[in-house]
Amino acid sequence: MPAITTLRAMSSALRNREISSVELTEEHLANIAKDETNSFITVAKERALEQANQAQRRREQGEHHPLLGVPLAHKDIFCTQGLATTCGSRMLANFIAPYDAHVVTRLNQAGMVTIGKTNMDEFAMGSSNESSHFGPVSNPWNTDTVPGGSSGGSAAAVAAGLVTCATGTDTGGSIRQPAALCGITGLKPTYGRISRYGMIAFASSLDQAGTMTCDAEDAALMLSAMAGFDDKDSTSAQRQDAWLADLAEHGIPKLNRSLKIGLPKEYYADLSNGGAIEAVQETLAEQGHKLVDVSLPHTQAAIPAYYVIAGAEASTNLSRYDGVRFGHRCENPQSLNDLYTRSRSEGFGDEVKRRILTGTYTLSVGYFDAYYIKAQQIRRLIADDFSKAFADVDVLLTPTSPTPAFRKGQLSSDPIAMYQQDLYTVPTSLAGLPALSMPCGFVNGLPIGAQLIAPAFREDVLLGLAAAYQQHSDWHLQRPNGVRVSQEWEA
Amino acid sequence: MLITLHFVALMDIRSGNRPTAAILHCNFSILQLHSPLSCLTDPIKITMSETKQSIDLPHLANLARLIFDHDSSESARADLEKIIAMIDAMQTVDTEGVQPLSHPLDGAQRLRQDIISETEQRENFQSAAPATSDGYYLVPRVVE
Repeated sequence: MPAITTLRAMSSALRNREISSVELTEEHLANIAKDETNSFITVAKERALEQANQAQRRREQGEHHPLLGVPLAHKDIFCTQGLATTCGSRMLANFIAPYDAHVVTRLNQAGMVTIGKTNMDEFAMGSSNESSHFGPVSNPWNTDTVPGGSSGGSAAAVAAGLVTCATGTDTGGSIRQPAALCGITGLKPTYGRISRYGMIAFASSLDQAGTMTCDAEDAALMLSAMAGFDDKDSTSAQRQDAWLADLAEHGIPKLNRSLKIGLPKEYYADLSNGGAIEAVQETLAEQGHKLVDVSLPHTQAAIPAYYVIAGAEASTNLSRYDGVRFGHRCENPQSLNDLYTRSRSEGFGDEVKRRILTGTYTLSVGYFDAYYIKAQQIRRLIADDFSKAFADVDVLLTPTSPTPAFRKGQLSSDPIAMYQQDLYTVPTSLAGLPALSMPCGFVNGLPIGAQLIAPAFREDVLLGLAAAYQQHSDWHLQRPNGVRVSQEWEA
Repeated sequence: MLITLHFVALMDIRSGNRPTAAILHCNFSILQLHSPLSCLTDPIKITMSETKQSIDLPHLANLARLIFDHDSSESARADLEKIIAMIDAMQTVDTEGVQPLSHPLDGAQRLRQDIISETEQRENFQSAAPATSDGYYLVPRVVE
């Protein structure tokens, strides 16, 4: 295994002509060919080499964007023109996207090389990557365990050193939980920060694209290219954040002040492995930040409210798969209804069907107020809990997930137990807030993560605090089998 | 500590009456009567009993345009019952007078100018279609 480096180290090696983008891409392709984690659904060999050649020409012409020529992997939920985009489903196993997602366009413009598409839970519905039509992904830290989900392929690929960075999406924790379980840094920006155009819809009021990288500085580089207003997404935010415009050139703005960090007591109540997160608190206190206890009283209501809202939106969004315009179509349909029902029943897996049925139930006549409206009311109570907390504190610190990686098959037969994996990530999603998971230690040899949550559009606070923490810790540099991430390029 | 939830008046919802917390009863031997919210805010586990309602799975499956064979239908029903029991824990939260939140940042829908901004891409889009003819999508015969 060649040395694993940060995105920044790779970027400076390209700038200093220590390696060319084509050489780097060939190296990546060779490593991915030996991958045993099943992180990739599609490897885009020819396309990647062509993009690498283009990036090289742009460098020779004097361009020097830090992402130019760096290989990355896209979660297979982002449409990539001319390349298979499966969303982890049999339904889209044959789907070649006719256009690029906005995120893909932005990263292409920055000159990044798409090395392939990563494995994921089917339609991003899952917390273990076991619902993928293309088989489960193994956690590189222990291949008997899951990498988390739904962005499990992206997380495992970064943790295994197959790429330095990958895109992910987070509806209820799908970036943060796999990042925690694989020992990498995952950033879910504020809802609306990054365009959803071309990102296959699961629950549109929750879906948010983000980054999966080694550390906060690398996440900031990715964010700088991915974020921005997009006319094609009606919920895209129009923002003028000076720090965001400066990220690519100057990096994360220094905090230069003491923060008040809230510790929501509801997130610590059931924590069996609290030692690592307490150590994070100590480190942050030593850095001059003030820690205070806060309460987010409606936390426990978040899981049921989330599964109502996400299920309702999923059942609506997934009604588009009808076997007519794209996606799986059954053999010899006898009638229009037969075409719909058989195409959908063959194309969707069990978990997707469960969510569709849940949404169909809660949206059906007579149940709408009791479930959907009730869930939206709870959503407001949860958002208000956060607003009240942020009146007093700058940022919140919590564990990312209740447990480290669990064994494959351990929860897959019990959907309710699986849903509890999202306990600490779902409330933030309902409130649309930005959150970041960073490695903070190990339990039984498996990485765990600490979650930082900030007010809307204050990713600068998340990134600044995480970067400061990562200067005083090395959890994020540790990789399986004693490998360490190098922050310098080693030829 | 366990809280047991029972369905007692599901017909209230079916008949279209505004559902209230009355459709669910906590086992009050371990709860304070005046504080339904405590079900969800106290650091206690909420554990559901099996729901007493029966789910009309064929009807739901038909609405969702899904079909289940005998075996998968039983497990789909069992899973759905568990999920519904889990989400019913919401009913213990007091939401009287709370405005529903549909957009996470409470934003208003942005409207665009009513001008043509898309170009015709029929061939491009139909390249992903399973069956087309002369620019049309093919489906089984609807009118004999």
